[in-house]
Amino acid sequence: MPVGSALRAAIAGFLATLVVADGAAAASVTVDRARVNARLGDTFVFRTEIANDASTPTPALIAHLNILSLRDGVYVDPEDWSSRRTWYLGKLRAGDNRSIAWSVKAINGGSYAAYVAVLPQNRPVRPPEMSPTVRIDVENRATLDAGGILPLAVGVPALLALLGGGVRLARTRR
Amino acid sequence: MSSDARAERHGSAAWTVVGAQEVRDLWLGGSALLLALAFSLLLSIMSYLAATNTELNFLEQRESVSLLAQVSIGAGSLLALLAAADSFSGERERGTLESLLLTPASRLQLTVGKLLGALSLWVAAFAISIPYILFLGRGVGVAGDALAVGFLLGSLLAIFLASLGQIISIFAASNRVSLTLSLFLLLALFAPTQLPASAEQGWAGELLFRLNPVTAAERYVGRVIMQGEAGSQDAAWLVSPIVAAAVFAVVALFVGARFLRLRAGG
Repeated sequence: MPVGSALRAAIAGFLATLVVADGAAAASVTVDRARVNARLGDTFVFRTEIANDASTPTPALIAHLNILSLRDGVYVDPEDWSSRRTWYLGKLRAGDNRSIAWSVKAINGGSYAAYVAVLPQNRPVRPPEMSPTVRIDVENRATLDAGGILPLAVGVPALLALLGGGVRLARTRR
Repeated sequence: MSSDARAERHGSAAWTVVGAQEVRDLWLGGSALLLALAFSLLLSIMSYLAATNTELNFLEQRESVSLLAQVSIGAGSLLALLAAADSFSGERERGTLESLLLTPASRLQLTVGKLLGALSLWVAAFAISIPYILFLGRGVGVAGDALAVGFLLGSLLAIFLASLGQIISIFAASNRVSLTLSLFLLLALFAPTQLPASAEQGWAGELLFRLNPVTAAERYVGRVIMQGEAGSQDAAWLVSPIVAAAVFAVVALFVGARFLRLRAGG
């Protein structure tokens, strides 16, 4: 079996289905991957598909992305991770579906979980349905060691200033 | 032996005499050293912030190197543009263009010499940026790539912008007009670099970024430094800077040879 087909089959095998029920209408929520490995600062995209498998339309739906740390003591502000976390989908006709691409930037190193909540717009008192969790592992990257920057930052301009002063002095004496 | 006499004896090399004299004028008597000092202060501030500021230090080391290389190229080619924009309109304004035109050097040779003088600012700017890039790139193996691609793209942009400035300077009646128009065009060329990344999506956005030599050079430098290698797809970003440098240099030499003359008032 080709690698691409195997990968697709594995992803398809993973896809989980949840139901946002509203009377006779129902919508299923799937995600296209279970895990993302990223480096600090990377931007990646994962997709959810919200499909109406029922024979009647769904109510107007809202999809909302949330991100949390799987380790205690790590602060996560989801707004920093994704600039657009809420999509107003409207109603889905019978058999219709909507695909949403969630663009996420890895802000901190560590292990995180992302999930999408889908809830009806007009009946928010109902508990939202959650998508399967996408685990995000962010590899820390080395940032610059500041040691030694001050002598360089001061030294080069100072050297040029001395050079300029020397040239001016030589021209004045001449 | 005066420059003019040397030029007369070695007519074919008169452009080297003009170029050498221009470099001397710029670096010993002109503002080049002051501009170089300002350039080094800019790089010092950028490097210090990249290394110590919490927000900027969040950048991965490759990103810091890429940022500094792009600033070096942008500011360095700006220096070349400023010198070129002053080349003939400055002589005209100072009333020295007539004596320059009376030397045995042809107008083409004068244009070549002036262009080389202006490009000396870019060469100096690149030399100044070397220790900063080596410092920021230490330990991640990108300093060599950053210096190589920085020198290549910076030289192409410097030739393009200096030629543009010189063309304007040849026709401008005053230095003020020449510098204002040159800086306006430079800002127009750099403006797309401030657009969000999403502006590059779609055929029109990508075409604009690829056609503009400044944005194309910026993208190429960023990609090579961040990815660590230049792929064949990335090489397409080189087309615009190469074409712009070649075309504008030829046009500047042609315009200088054909249209450089005294005007009313100088």
